[in-house]
Amino acid sequence: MLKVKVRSVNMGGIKFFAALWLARICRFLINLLAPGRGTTLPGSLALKIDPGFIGHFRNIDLNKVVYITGTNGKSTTTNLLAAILKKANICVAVNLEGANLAAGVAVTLLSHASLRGRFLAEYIVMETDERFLPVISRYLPPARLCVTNIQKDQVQRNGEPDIIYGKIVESLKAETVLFLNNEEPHTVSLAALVDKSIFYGVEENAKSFVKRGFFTTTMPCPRCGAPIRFMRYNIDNIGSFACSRCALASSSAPAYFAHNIDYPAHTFMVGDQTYPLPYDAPYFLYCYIAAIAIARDIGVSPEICGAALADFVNIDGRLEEMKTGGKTIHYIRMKQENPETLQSALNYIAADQRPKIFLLGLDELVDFHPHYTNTFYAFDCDFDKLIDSQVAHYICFSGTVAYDAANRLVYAGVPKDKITVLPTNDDQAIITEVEKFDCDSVYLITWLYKFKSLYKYLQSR
Amino acid sequence: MTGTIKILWLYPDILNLHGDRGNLMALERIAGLLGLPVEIVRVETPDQALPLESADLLMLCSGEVKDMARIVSDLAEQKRALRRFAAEGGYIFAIGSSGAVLARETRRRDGNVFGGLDLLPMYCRERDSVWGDDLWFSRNDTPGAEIIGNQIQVLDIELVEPAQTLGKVIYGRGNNGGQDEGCRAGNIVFTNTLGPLFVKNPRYTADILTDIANRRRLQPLRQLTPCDTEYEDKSFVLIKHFIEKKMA
Repeated sequence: MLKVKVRSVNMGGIKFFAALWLARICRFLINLLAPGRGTTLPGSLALKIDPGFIGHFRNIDLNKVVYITGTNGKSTTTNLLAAILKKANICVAVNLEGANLAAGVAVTLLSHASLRGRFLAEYIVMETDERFLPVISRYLPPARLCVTNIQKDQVQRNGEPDIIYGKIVESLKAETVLFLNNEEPHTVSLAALVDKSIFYGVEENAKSFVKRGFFTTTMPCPRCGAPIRFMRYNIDNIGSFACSRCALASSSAPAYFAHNIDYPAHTFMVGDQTYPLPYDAPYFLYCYIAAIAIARDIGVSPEICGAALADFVNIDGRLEEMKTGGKTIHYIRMKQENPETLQSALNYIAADQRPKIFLLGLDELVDFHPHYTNTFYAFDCDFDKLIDSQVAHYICFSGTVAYDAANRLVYAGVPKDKITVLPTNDDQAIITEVEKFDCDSVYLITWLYKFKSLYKYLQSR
Repeated sequence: MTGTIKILWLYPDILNLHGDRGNLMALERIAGLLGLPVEIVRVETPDQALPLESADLLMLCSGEVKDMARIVSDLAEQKRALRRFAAEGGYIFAIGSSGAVLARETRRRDGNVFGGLDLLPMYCRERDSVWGDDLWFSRNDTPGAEIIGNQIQVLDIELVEPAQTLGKVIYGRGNNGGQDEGCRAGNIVFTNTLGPLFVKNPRYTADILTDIANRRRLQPLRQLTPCDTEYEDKSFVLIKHFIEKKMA
């Protein structure tokens, strides 16, 4: 039983109230004048006035603060957990729009507070950016912290996974209850740092795979540095594993284990309970089981978890479709600086054995300054399953890095006469090329902004 | 000395931070285009003895800084053998953060210092923040030749004069924001260049393989043609243009 701790009246005084009211006015004006834009601006304003803002609300039960962090799966897990708690009639403050930096957390809290700073929701469920977790936790520590995975990501600012690992470790207290991905080595190693960890995992299933190629690489053990060995993968770099030297390993029976996964029937089981499987890409399973684990620990019944899953609609922009002529373009989002999402996208496409066109739009990286042309994570990915899945033709487009993407395909064994290289980002040129081919299924991997641009172009035709 | 070019791929599961296995794929592919027989041998862990007597090139790809001290410690016993290997013409390549293995010493952000194998006259210092960008430099060994790639700078490099560099920076941070990129002592080479390096710069790859082939008295069956390097060459042009816009 967690000790009850309710935040006391001492909240930061005048600065807090000034921040709260000015931020609310700012939010009102934004909603009036430019709805949907600058959604975290009120939070930024609040933090500027009172840097400890998020820790100064009254009536927050610290036992009911849940953060979800990690490289991938934060948003889906957060959204599903919030949906489950709402289904259970629990009032929850959640940053659904993925605003996971301190300003986003601030906006979410002020949206659920009275003018006098009294917090009005029961639970706080926040997706938190890994780098900002120590800052956010300093002011509002979580009783429950879910770490979905720690992988190579946004290398231009993060450098290496160990830097993110350190940020997460920095935010831990011994009493934090961790929810950890049983099949991801970095997260499993965090268990040694707290008093209590709850593991969740996914059984080997029809979409699990092994890697045997000569050029297969894994990762160093986060504990001792020796190579990690994966017995099988459920998704890239996540699966049943053991360190080749120390005792770090996945468990065969984590507390919450998705098993009997039936993709055609869209169901899976946890314990004796059968749950619906709304989206059957394997990486979603980890989001579902993580949300179920946290919800069950909070006290929500399996039936309510299942009901929430049945109604669950994921956030936009992960898997989408658009039409052109008689063709369906299936879009899968990827993060160019995170090889696991690119590999998951490739594996998803490869599972469809029908003839297809493969459209790859890696691009310049413009999230941070300086903008640059990193495409090297394509070499962390395996393309052989994709190549074996009846790809009639490959099209690589980008104003700058189309030839690098095409070269990766050549390295994977695709003959050049099956590749079209478009050194452009022009929507018309891309669609015109796609329409040349007599194949009604197209799979597109590119950035979300590019998908939206192509979608808008097709809508306008 | 004839036979097969032998490449030791050191610690592939530990040192693979930035798509680096592409470098080994490139060495295999370019050797194939040149008609040179090549064998890549995986050396899984630093406590394994390196089969240097038959090797031509040791590849240390980029990895996490936290693992470098352990690698140095495990390799320390083989330091003399590595020096002899390099003195006899063997190549030792270190990319990115694995430069710490070949350096004299690395100072971490928290003040801790660990020694390297001292095979290159350079010191490494962990930066307060990561610097990621494109990298473009001219090669010192071949007038007019250039190398292009990226760098994810976790360690800044200080050379001990009169160290030789690999090249002169045209764009990028290079070793530490100055004009120098990389470090070279005979055939021991360090570079910050990711990309992967050998994928994006096939002529550089071919030059290294040809040098090794000459040492082994092997004759390449052909040279690289523009058709072989069409995509890399066109990529170079586009990225150069992208970088020039940044420089403007």
